[in-house]
Amino acid sequence: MLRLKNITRQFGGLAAISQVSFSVNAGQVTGLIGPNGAGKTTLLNLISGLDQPTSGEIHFLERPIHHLPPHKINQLGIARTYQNIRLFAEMSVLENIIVGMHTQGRAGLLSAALMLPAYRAEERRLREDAARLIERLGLQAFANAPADALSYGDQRRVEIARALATHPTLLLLDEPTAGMNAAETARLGDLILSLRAERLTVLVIEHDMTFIAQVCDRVVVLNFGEVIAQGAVDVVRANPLVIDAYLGAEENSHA
Amino acid sequence: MTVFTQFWSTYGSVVQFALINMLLGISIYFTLYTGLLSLANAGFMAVGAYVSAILTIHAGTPLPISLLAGAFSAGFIGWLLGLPVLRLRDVYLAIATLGFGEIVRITAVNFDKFSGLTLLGGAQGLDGIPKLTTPAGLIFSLILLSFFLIQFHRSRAGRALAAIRRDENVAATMGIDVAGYKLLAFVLGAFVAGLAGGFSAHLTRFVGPNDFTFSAAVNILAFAVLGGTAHWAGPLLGAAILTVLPEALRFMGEYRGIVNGLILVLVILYLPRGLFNPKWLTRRKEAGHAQA
Repeated sequence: MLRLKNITRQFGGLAAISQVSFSVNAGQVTGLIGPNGAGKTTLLNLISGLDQPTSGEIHFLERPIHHLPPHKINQLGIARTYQNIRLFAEMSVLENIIVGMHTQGRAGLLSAALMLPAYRAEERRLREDAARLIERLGLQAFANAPADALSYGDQRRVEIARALATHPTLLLLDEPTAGMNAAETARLGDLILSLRAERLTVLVIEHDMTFIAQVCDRVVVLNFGEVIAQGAVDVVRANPLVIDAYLGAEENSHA
Repeated sequence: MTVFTQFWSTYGSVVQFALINMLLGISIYFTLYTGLLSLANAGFMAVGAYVSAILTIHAGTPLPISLLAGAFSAGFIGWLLGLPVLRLRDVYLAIATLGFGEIVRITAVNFDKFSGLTLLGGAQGLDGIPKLTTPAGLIFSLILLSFFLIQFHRSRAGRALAAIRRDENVAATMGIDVAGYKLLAFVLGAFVAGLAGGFSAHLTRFVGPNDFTFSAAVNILAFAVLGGTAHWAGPLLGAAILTVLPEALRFMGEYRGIVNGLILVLVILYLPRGLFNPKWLTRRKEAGHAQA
């Protein structure tokens, strides 16, 4: 479904990503793991169009997307969340999600200004859809609260709801469990599995290996901008290269 | 009644200038609401003023037609200008749009000389424009535009602009065409500024190239700075105050400019979000709910 071919992204002389190739299969949850600074978020930025690769190709549904602007990529069916939560802070949870439904509306300026019936029907439909998403993510209690008043874990779920509001076929999640407690993490895992059951494809960056084991069909391991392993979770976890990469990181963080 | 007539004969023109400036407040609100720091509004005002005045003088068109022609011309020029300059951000956009104001001024000064026509009146400007602007026309336009703004905020486009101001990249990954919507905001602002320019020309009966320079552009920005941009009523309030204030301070003679500036500085220091606080509205709403 998503195919990366020899992707390189250079910042000056530094290659943040070099010669990365892998595929994300339709209907699967693929994990993207690796130590801090391995280039995972850079890769997500390249896929979502916020950044362009120095060389290489990205194909989505057999179409090249590596030169498309981000809004076109979203319209093709790719939505994402952010590692450092980027909600529209002063807007309510409901409003954040309705912004996400932008591409599902058709009403122009004139019909909104004149409050034509078509516009009002569309607004009603968007609100109903948003309410359904809020319920699905268990955010009913905060629907009208400003987004920045919510806890970290709840804000992450609002971001997921907002991404789902764009009706994606591929969802990119950047460390969705960061700041969540164990119970919230487990519930998020269940949500992702239920989305997969509805044929949504997911690419998720994560550090929590229990979570990875719970939701991922496959994992891709990135280290220093290169893919060092990919495959089933158990197989990759036993790979000596992966163990090296992680133990090395562990040593550094304790130093 | 005589009291009112007396008041109007003294202050009628101030009130009408305030109304025109409120239109300009709406015009800069469109761009600021989208997070664009544009100083092109004075230039767009000039386009609207010249186009509408020429139509009225030479073609004898009725005021609404002249005004609309001026506004659409400004909107069209805004579209042409917006395509290249909206790639810039922040202070760079401000500088580029200031440059546009200069282009308009220099064009107005030299157009007749180079074209051989007597259309814009060169540096002397264009006078003898019939005084067709009426308070009723101004108030009608303001009410219409305010209503449009209220509806606009609730619309898909309004939400897109709000999202762009808060986080352009996130808005783009939600499928919002950031460049397209910025252009829309820019063109809407240009349209309204052109309308204000038309009203102004038919009120003062004169259009000159020096009416729309740097200081005019900064004055328009000051409406928004004083009133605040958190709510569309902010720039309107700012425009009204900044038009009336110099009149109210007239007793101070030469010092009024200083006091005027001092008030602006104090507002920026102590009320950085402007005078108009949108919480006034929500608090009232909450109080209403509590009583119900």
